Amino acid sequence: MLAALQILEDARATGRRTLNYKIPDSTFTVDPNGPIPTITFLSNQSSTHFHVQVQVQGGWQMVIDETGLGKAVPIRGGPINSAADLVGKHLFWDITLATQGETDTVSADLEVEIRQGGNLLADVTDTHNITGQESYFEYMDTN
Amino acid sequence: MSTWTRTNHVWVLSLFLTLVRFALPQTGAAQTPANATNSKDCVQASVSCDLNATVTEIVAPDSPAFTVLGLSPNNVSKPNSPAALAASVLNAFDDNGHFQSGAAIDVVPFLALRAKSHSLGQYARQDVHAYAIRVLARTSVSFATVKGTSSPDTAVRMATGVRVSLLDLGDPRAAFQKCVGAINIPTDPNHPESPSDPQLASDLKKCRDDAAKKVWNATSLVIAGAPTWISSDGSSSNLSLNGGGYWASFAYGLETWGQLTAAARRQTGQLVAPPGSSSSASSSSFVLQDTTIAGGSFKFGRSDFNGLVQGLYIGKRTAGLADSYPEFGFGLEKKLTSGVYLEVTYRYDVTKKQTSGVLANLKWSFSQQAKLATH
Repeated sequence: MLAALQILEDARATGRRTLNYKIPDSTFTVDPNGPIPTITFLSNQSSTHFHVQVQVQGGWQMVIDETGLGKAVPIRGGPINSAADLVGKHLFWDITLATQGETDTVSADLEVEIRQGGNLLADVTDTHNITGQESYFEYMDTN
Repeated sequence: MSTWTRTNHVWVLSLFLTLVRFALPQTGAAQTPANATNSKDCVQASVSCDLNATVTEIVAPDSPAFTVLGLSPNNVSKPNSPAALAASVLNAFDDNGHFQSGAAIDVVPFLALRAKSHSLGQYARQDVHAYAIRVLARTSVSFATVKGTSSPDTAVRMATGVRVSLLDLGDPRAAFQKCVGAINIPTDPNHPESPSDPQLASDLKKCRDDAAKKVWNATSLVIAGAPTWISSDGSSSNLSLNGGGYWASFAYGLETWGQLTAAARRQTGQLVAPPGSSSSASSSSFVLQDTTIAGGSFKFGRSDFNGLVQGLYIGKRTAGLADSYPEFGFGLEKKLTSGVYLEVTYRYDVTKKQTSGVLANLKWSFSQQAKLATH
């Protein structure tokens, strides 16, 4: 109860502290014998660093900490060194999109592509209006 | 103590110079207050013209169509979506297909039509595709109409302008994107729906503020053109080409202290008052003028001292009579104390070639704000 009130108070005090935006969970299948899959973030807005974390025993471990929309980044890091390592994992990614005007409400497009070789394993899209900035996140499971 | 003394010396000097300025008779061109001159540009009048204003005037304008028609419209339509663009274009015509007088549209087609393009998210990247996107996002199209206000001049004049910024190292969108791209605040997977870290909003605000700051000496290359048409009865079917304006301007920044600029403008089919007549002459007595102007400047400065060297070449044909002449000048500005600037300017006067010594053309004045300020 106190934590909820604290969050509400913080949000009111800072004004711009919006809740992060959840993309519905998804699942994709990885070929364990294929090349290491890549993840690409695309948007019509500007973005901060994006991150991919993997759940490990006792918490989460960073796999990708990168910047640059449109760049296919191999999902490699932490405990993941090959496509086989990615099978059966619980992943989490996050990114923040920002508009140049602090009070502009604009239609923000976000697309997240996961590819292995030439194959598209997952294609997540979202479009909604944002004002100033919005942080997005999604949990993904792999088969 | 020494600071107090120095400040007072500056004030005493300022007061003395001000008294001298008002006490001395203003004879000749020397020591004439700058504000005594008219702000006429050096194309229409080479005597007592404002060289700085003329050099600024030949830089590629933001909305070439408005500039070439001599307009500063209050209600400019700036559509940012396909629907708004279509509505703006439709509003430029009446029900009979005639141009509405006073229409003014300024649009960046790429941003209006491709606002959802993912290419915009890769705007600041260092590759050919991103460069092409930057050029498209900095290309604007302007459209304007104006109608003669009195008989017999009731024709509608129309201009369509294009402005392309081929190079802009001070591009605020690119600066913002680079700055945002460096922000690195991961979301906690255990509490992802919590409000975002206040540091994020703070960092983004700094990026917005920094990107909005104009870099006074940014390197840039801009070209622009605006052909004009005239329709005697205001209908689109009777349009005929009626001259236009074309610009090219290049600026090169020298670290944080200087800038070299070069610009050229060609303008044809301008209606101007005949030389020697008053500007309030009736529109029926106006004559046609074509002008070609090329010039440049070197600006340098810091917070308390600025300098400017400028040169122009003006070629014009007014009512069939050709004329050409150079203009040259420089200015120095020293901040004496808060709110007091001493400005010294020199302009080579083509009409006084026999007395073009430095003193004859040297002017000084005080002002409350910097006129040549670079930043």
